[in-house]
Amino acid sequence: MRSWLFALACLAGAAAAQQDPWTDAFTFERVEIPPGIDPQIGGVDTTPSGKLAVCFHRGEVLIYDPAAATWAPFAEGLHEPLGLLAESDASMLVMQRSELTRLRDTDGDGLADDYETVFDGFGMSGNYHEFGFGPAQDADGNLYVSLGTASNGAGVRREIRGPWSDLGVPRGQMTTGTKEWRQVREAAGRMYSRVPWRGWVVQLSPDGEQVTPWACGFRTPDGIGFDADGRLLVTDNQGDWLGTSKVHHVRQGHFHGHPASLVWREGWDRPALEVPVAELE
Amino acid sequence: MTVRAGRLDHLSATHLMPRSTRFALVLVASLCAALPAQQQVQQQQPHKEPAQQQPPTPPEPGEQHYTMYCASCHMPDRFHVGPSLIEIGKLYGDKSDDFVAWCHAPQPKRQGVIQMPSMAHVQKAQLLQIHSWVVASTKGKEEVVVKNADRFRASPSMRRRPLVQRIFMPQAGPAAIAVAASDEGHFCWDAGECRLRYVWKGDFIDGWPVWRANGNALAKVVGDVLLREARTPLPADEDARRKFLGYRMKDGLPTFRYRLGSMRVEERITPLLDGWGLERRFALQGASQPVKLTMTAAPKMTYTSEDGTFDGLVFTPSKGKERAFTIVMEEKE
Repeated sequence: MRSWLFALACLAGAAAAQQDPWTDAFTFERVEIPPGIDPQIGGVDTTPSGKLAVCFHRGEVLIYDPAAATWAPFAEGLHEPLGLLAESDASMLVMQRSELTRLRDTDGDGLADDYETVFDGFGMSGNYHEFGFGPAQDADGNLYVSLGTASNGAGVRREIRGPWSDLGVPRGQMTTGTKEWRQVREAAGRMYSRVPWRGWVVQLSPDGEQVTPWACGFRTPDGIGFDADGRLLVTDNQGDWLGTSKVHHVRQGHFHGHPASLVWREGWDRPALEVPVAELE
Repeated sequence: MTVRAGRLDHLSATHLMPRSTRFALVLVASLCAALPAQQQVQQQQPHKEPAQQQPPTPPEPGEQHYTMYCASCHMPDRFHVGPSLIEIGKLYGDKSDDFVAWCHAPQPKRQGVIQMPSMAHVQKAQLLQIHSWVVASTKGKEEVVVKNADRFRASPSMRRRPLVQRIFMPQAGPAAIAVAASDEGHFCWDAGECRLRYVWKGDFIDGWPVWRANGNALAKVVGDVLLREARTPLPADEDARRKFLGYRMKDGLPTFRYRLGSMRVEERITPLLDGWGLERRFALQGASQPVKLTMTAAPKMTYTSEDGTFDGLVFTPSKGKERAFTIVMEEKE
């Protein structure tokens, strides 16, 4: 009898497990955006004390306290921050267009007073589509950021940051808004990577000093994180070479399908668009 | 100056003009008001030609006071920094005393909108004139709905001074930092090149071209550029290594830190306490020899320093000041 009851309990448990396993995983709560803030959110993380750190379109970082339902400012003035990692309640890593920045409140007043550049060793052509995402952190504390490619919806600015790859349409013809640019925009590629690490995931040592280009072949790798088994996962945004948005399991040295970023592979010597599809596969 | 499109037909066109023009008109209006007395004097003297030209109708006192005290934040027909006259007319139509009380002691009221400063310097009689003019001139009118307008341009995080804003800026590298040092003094600092790019006087930036969509535009500099630096004034070869290290915020303004060749530099630009101008403080570590700075020729600005001497555009810090010195940049009279 006892064993029969036990078996019944097991069956009941198995039946429960076959139901939607996500039922109790989370709840939805409506959080009002603070007044005066452009509500386009670029990144969210929970702080160690259970607060919500959020960065916004115009560069604010605000902290939401769910217990008190109040918002408090933490930082501002960042350039299109699209990722945030709360190291503590007083230290956040934020990926903005131009750099990975550590925001620290060093005097305990709740506001970041130190904006430390952790990593800006990647190029900016000034093209609007060169977004930066991340960071994700592995078990050893290494950081990973992912960098979007440029769109031929525009050319490049007269002033750029970082070296230029000569593999492709000459830079002199790619200045945005010019007649020359309009003539070469098709040839430039739908998405292009002419400054370093565009279309790459880059690994940084915990102090940001050691930079390792980790994997390439991304278009707009707009989500990056680790799963419970320590696998680095990156979502990439649908467009040229990507029939649909997908999740990549990223491993060091791998190529993930979009050719533009190949020009930054060591020893690479051809424009990305000249690579035959068979070779890409 | 913000471009103010659209108008209310019954309101005088003066509201749609740049502020300086409006002030000029107020001046004209004041002169006109003084005119009748002058004409009386003239009538006592023989004159050949009769006065045939009617002076333009001067604006009502309420409108004049509005132009003087309110127009920089309140537009007639749409929300600007504060509510429109149409909305104010509806709120205070028959409550002139409340209107005066509010103007003299405003409170925080609208979420996300900067608090109005007290108008204690405006007399009650004048405020009552403003009130009656606002109510009369806006009666029955509805606000203009502005498409593609920046809903957040008046919010405190945009209007507070000082303010730091990283954004795509004209005539700078893509890693630019715009800083509103004061109400009227601003500068663009380039984190890619680790140097000041330009200084301007006016109303900071309009970031809406960048923020409104995907960022395929530059922010607009609002004001007059007084200085454009061609290169860092610090001694550095063209190919000297530059590394931006970040900045520390103090009193709302950044102290930039960077490496330039063998030097580690801190640079802080703050507004002068009186008059228009900026103070630029450098602190250097690791300079191999005493440095000299070479400033960019700036027809609209002067350079002075108590920490050293200028020979033309070349600045030499005094003994004991080689590692930390301040250069004052003021607009030329």
